[in-house]
Amino acid sequence: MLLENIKLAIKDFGSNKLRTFLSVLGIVIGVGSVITITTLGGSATLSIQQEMAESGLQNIIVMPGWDSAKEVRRLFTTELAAQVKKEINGVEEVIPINQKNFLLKHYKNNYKGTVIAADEKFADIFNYELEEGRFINGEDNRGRKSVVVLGTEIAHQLFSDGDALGGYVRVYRSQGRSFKVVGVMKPLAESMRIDFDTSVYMPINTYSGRIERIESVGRYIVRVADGIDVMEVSEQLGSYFMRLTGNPDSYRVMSPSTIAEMYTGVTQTLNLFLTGVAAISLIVGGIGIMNIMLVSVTERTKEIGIRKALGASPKVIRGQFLTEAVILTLSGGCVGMVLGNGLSFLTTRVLRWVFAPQPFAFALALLFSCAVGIFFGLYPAVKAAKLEPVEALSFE
Amino acid sequence: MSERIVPVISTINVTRDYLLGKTVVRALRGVSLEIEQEDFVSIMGPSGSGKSTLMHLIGCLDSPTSGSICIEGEDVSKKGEVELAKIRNRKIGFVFQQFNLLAKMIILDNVMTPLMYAHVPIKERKSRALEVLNRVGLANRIRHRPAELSGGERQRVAIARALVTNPSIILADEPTGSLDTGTGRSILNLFGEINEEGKTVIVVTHDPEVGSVSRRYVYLRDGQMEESHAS
Repeated sequence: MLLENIKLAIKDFGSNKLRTFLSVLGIVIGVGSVITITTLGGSATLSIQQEMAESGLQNIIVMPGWDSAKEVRRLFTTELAAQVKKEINGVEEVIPINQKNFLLKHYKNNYKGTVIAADEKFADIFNYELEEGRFINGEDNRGRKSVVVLGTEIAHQLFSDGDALGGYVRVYRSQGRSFKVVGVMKPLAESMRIDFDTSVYMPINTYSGRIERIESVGRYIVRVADGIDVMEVSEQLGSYFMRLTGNPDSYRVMSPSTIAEMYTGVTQTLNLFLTGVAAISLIVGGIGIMNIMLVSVTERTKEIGIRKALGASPKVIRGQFLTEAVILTLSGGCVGMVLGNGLSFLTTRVLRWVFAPQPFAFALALLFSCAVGIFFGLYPAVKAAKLEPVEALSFE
Repeated sequence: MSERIVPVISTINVTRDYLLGKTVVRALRGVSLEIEQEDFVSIMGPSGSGKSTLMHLIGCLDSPTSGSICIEGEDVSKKGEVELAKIRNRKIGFVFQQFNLLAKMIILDNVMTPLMYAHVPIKERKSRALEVLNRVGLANRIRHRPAELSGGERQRVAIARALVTNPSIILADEPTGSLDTGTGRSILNLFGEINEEGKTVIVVTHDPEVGSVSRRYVYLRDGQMEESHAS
């Protein structure tokens, strides 16, 4: 019986194509937007996660708060880095970093770039690979040697005509100082608030000895050992610096997870709002279905009368119209799903995100379109089932 | 007790009132009628005499205001819509003046429809529908839609549809009303043959031609039976 009802419904819609199309448009738009929203949300999250995985989910940044007093800033030293590494379990490495923007020159080529003062472990922590030459090493650092390693963008800008390796770069503060280029890095996407390609890398002791005479550092990059919970280490770092400074505002601990959580919070709020909009459009779509089904029942009063005369029970008539409503909403849901996926696919291509279709959302969308069909189709179907056979038969 | 003694249809003092606006229309004012198995009865009378109402009641499309109606000994006057639908499906075959075929479906599907409501498996539906279509001489038109057929052919389809569930009673409401004389004649002959084959046939009609095939007349006037006699 169900199969016959489905065939019948399709036949009926086929003879009323434009009307059928218009009546399911609301559902198409509703389901389409739900799918687009969830797919784009999922794709965005996945893209962020992948970016973080590439840059190392194991890294935590610790830095002084925005408005920390000088005394607090002075606490952040290279020695403290060694102490943190020793005292907190699960910390594999703590790399002190200073970074500041300077004017960089090579003959007549200028570039306003970032100087990142770090030690030899910096490249490993970010899986940052060499294009040529070598990265700064321990000897450079201990000996305060005047060497730098260039990010790919800076290398291109300063050495536009060729080989950077072995060349010299002048870093201007009040006066210019020359540094020998010992290595050039491969491109790497920005992460942990470091724009790798537009930075030059310098041994941290060289920096504090030759460029800026400071004992403190700008931030620590804390590498968490494999298999250790990053969140737990974050908390330990938090309480360590709390004890040290006595003020929760004078330091900041940022792990990829806290960044991700912040991001997820924003997308979840947005998702909730957009899902609300989509739900409203589904309800409006459902009302459209109800309207068209009521028209259909009235138009087909005679047919209902004939079917009743031939022995169709009220249940059968109800089933027939309910099936029609569900097929309408379900097919609208399917079209919406295809459109929504197409739209999110194109969007992810444009934004260079990972395309992450959400099977859960498909199931939910189909379930929802069925539910809308049943909910809004029930009243017209019951109305059809309740028609008096004699009256229905004499309807012209 | 032989089956012959129980009439296939009996009505006892049946009335049917309608509410038309605020006035009560008394369409039937106490009709008592017995129809024997394998009879061929014409119900005649002027318009407004209540003959259509009587047919609806006998056909279980409607329930009486008072009185009782028995189909094959079973009182149907107090039954609910679900049971009435079942009786219409199993025991009664309808033929209407306007044919009342389902316009969007092909002839074969039209004839198969009552069997679908009887939950007959699809293969059997098809073979039984082909059998009755063959019986009414339309085996070559099964893939056509009703609109592609002549009036006489459409009425044959309707008769095939009425026969397909193998009911004991065939109820026809003005079956020749939309047909020319010649075609009407052949349809009446078909009813005659069906009656010969053992079905009880009841025809509501204005058409005096029906007299040539029916065995018995029932005249209605103002909701009451005026006379009933064998032809």
